[in-house]
Amino acid sequence: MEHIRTPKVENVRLIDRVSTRKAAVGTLYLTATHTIFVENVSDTRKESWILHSQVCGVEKQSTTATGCPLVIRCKNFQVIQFILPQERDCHDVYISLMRLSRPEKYEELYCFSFNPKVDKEEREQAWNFLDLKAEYSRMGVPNYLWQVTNVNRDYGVCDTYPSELYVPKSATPPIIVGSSKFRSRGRFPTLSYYCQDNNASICRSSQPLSGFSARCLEDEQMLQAIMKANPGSEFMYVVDTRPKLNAMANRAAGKGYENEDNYSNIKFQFIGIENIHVMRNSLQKMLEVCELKSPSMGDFLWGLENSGWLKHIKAVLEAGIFIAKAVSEEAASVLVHCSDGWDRTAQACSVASLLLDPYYRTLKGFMVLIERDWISFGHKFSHRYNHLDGDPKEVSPVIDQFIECVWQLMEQFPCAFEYNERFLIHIHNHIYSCQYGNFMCNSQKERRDVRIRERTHSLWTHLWRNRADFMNPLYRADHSQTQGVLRPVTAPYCFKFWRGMYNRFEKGMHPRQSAVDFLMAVKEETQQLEEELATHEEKIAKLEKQQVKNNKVMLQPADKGKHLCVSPSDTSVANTPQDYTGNAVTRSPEWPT
Amino acid sequence: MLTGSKTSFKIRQMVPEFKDKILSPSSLNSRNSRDMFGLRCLPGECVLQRAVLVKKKLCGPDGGGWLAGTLFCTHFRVAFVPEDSPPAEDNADPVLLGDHDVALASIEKVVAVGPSRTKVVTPNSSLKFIPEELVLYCRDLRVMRFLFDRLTPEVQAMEITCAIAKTYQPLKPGALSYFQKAALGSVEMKQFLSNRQQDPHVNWFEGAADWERELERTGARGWRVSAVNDRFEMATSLPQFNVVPQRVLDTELKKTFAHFSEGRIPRWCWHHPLGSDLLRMASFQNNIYHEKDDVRNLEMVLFGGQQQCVVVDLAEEMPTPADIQLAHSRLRVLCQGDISASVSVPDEKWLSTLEGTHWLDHVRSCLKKAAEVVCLLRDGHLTVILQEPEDRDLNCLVSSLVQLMSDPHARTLPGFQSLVQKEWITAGHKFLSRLNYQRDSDREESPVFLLFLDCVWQLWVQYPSRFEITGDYLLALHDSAHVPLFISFLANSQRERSRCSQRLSQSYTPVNGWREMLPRNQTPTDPPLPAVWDWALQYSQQRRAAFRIPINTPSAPGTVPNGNLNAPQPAPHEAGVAAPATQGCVFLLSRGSLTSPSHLIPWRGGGGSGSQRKSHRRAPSSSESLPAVERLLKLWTPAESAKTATVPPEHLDSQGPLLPLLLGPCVGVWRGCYLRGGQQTQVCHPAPQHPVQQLALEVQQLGDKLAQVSDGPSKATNGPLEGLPKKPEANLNQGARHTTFLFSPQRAPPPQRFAAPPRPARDSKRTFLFSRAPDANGGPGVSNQRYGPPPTARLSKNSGPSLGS
Repeated sequence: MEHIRTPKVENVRLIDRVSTRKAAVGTLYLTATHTIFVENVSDTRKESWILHSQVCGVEKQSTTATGCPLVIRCKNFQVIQFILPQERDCHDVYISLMRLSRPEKYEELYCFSFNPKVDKEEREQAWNFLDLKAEYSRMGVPNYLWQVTNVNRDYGVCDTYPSELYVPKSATPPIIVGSSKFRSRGRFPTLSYYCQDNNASICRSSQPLSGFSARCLEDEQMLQAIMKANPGSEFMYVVDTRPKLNAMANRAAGKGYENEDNYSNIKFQFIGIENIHVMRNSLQKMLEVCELKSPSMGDFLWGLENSGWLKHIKAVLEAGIFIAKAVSEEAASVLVHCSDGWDRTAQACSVASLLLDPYYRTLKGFMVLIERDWISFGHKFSHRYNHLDGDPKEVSPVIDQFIECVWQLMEQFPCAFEYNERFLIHIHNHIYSCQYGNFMCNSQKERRDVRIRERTHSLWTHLWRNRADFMNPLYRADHSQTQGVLRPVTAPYCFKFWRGMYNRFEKGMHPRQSAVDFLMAVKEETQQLEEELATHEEKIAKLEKQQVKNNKVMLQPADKGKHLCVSPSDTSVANTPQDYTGNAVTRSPEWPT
Repeated sequence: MLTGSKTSFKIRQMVPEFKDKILSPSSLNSRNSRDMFGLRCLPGECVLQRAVLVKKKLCGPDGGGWLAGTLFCTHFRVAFVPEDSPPAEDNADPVLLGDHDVALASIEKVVAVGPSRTKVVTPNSSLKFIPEELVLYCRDLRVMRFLFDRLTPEVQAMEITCAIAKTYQPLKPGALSYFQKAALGSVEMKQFLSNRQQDPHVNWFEGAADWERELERTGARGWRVSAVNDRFEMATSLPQFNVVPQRVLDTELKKTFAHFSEGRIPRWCWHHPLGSDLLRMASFQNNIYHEKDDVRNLEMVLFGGQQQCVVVDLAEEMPTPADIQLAHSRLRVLCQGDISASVSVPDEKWLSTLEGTHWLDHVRSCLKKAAEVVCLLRDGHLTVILQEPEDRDLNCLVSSLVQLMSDPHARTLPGFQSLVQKEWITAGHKFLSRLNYQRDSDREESPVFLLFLDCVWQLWVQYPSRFEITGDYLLALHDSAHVPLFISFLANSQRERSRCSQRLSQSYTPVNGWREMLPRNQTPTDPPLPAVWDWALQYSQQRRAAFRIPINTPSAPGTVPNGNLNAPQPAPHEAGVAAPATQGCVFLLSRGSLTSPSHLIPWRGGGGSGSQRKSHRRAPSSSESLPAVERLLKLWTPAESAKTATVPPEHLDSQGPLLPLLLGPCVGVWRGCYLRGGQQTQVCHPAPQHPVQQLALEVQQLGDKLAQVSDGPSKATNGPLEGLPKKPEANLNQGARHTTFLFSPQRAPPPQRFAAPPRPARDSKRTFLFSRAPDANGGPGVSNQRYGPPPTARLSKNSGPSLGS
């Protein structure tokens, strides 16, 4: 509160960027968590809420005759332009927003003040909604080849790893500890995904501290153990997701990559996903294209290509495809790493899991996947998504790229995913919003120290409760192509610009008709009706029983028919697409901000 | 039987002397004949070569994978018969091309892939290796891939490749008619074709009555059908009947022809329900003296019944036919992904190469121009005239797009076909030259019509539920344009067409020199060529079923044809009819704004004698009304966005025009068409169907169920066709929340459009949508039941509170 210099500014105009509609006039309110704009139009009083944790940039432009423009850029790609009448007010709002959008301590974040009406018990239960132990046992571990290790119980070996880790049976604590000393930030090879059918596994780690010639016996034993844990295979892959040049440069700093000569039976492979700085700039360039007022076809296509964004998406997807292919077709285990093993490694492992296992294409499976590969393995959410005021060089759209990969896959396999685009956008939104505790901090240890579970709410149950909104009506679990491994095409024309994400706040660019929305509405209605049918059938059965008991005349079929028919006057709902428009549209693009 | 042919043919020299190497002269006496190898031949069709145990690569909506079967080359097509295809009914009507067939004339390139090399096989080249794979690149951008099995006799693989390579190219002038004869030349076929009925739902715009019907449908008044060009004497490229203002007499009209290029005078195309009219014309002949009487007539012809007139010059801001051709050929290279080409576009350059084709730019500018015209027409007091130097390319395109955007009737299947008849076929789009079937008009070649189809596709993608036609239909039309068998596409004007076709009566005595106008080497009547709209000739029942959406758009053919939509006829229109021909205001639509340049109309600008003064006097008045008209043009952008912001557009706009979104990300590549054969395409859309179609099914099923429930359980065992109630509206209304359904598991499933895997009718909620019994290929009557005026057809029309009435 102490950061709000002026709580209320009147006669502010909100400029609509795409359409040339007249600016809306209204009042701007600043609260501790939100900036709220209320339109003056008396009957509607339309409100726009901007969450401060979503704000990534505030820009005060030079004063013109009409007033002082203030541009607010959000992390969810919304760009809002206000014009304030007074320069002084504008400056106050600017200073306040600058401070409010850059909290310095975790305690200032929205999730600590966000308080939906949920009692304590329910909240604690919500945190147990996803259980990673159950996930690993779903995959079939621990078993005679893999075991849980307690070596990191107090985060003693690696403070960015979770406390429970799965390693091959033959990897003894000394091997693990030795290996972790040879790996950047102690992130030793550990299990990410296990394929029960052929014992192949996907493991992850950080880069080895090999420099130009260093070796580590324990690390070599560790890899050997992983290979041995796949009895059917003669070799294993080591995938370095970095471009070769980057990896070589790291050798000078005493890091680098595995030497094939030192490790027996490994096949080494570079994939070439660029680093977080390249990705940040690429996204920036693409957003500039999105912001063009009226781009020509050429501006758009050239801009999109020059940003290189789709090329990077393709690289991430290809990494996943390579790993998935090795696991499914060659039945070989794969060790994936990049530099620290928390950005590109997370991307590659999770894409590979998604391609391999239909479970991750279900609603709950996808949450589990994010929980496992991203949250538990210490993806640095706070740094990457700038939750706290920090080093801007640490910010990068890493999980954004993963989410977009999923979307691109959804476009290629419309029947393979139980969830829809809205689900992805919703998750993306909450990664930045800081409304729920799931994505706070940078590691499990930090989350424990801040007591996230005791003090905040979990997103997953919220999503699960609203799952009706996130179902893909085209999902067909029994379709031949949705079974087993997905084999996407990576021809360049298969990568599309994700309008629903990057232009989602521009109403003028939304499709006018969304068949999928209609379909969802109709399906929902059908389901309701069928449920109702079931209850009515039950009732009829009960009634009939009673009647038999009472030894009365059986209900005549004709009567039954009459009974079931609804009076014709009941015309409140009809089953035509038009009738659902209201529902579908009001539900669709309005996201909590 | 299948191995029998292995030894019998040793064809060393393949010359186009077909008689020598006919495998099986199919019995000539009946059209029921089947080839002995399982291919159902057309009467008189001969199999030249065949190869067994071939696998065809599937792509696109069929999903990935390979299909095993036998490959044939006849002298008309390359046919592929899957192993397990059901034997055709013996007395079924002949279908020219099966689902897996391609006409020889639409093949562009034959590539043989060997163990270590690929080679483009031409008629003159010899093949020095045994092909393992045969790739056919088609003009319609399909790519057919056939894989020979190890068990395929090598001779067969070799010879079928050569046979296709030697017979496919209709390069020589006579080849086209040879091809047509091969397909349609037999006595049985001629007889069969002459017995075909024209689709009565399609307006062919061939007779005066057809135009009358259109005038009535649109509610246009003050216009009449003129037969002044009955013998093509006034303008050879115009149709026989043209719609002109009622006040202009034929004798007066005759004098106006000379003032327009090729005599293509302003002609009425369409009437907006709010009162505006759409006209089209060629450019003015400038070096002509304007007599006073002429000027009066010209003004009348130009203005129709209105006081204001906007000329939309399609020569500027729009691609020329040459641009379109260049863009299309570049797009083709980019999309087809030729394996015999040494260089391919690197992945990261794909977008800029796509941009370099400018195809999407052209699509966008056409849509933009059409949207502007649509907005002008909404005013209700204007005559909008599309002007293009020749009036035979972009005028066709923009005029049809305008009607598609604003007239719901044009978005139905018969309506769309009527539209193409009206604005393209009878209006004299030079299909024969533009499509360049004979390879003899390379300089004229330009796929303007295909650009149009792409524009329609873009609209369809943005507003799928406002169309009755589907993407499948557009694709079918796209592909048909590459098969040189249809009279619709085989002439440059109605006059030429009437010479080739027997459909028009032969009562017109030839005027001087008409013979020279005929396409070369085409004898007038042999064989009779069908119209493209006879889809049963090309597509199976099942494929045709996917041409329309099963639910009706709010403006289905069953409903009142667009007509005047109860819109009030504005008074000024009436006044205009009565008013003397005063000089109205003329504006030019240019770069999104309206101007009134002085030289727009040649007889006003200073060429004419007495009119100069007049125009001076008029000048202030035109600039007065200019802002008012300009406002119209600008109206739509803000209005649209305001609507989208508050109310979903469908509510306001269910009758409004379809204004396309045109920002960069909103215009896309027609992947289903251009990227069908992309080298790596495997499984792009495992979706069984478009979401809209699925939605339609869902709605239909709900309707069926409701119908059944209301009919009471006693009728539940009846077939669904009887089960569909007499009073569907009433039943529909009962689809309220409180309705309960009574399922009867034994009841027959509702009629289905798509053959889907048979599955129990109700196993769970989730599979409900997809569970349908295989009822798809019912007899010929089924389609009528489904799409004619089925009870469910009226379903969506009745949405809203007026349901119960």
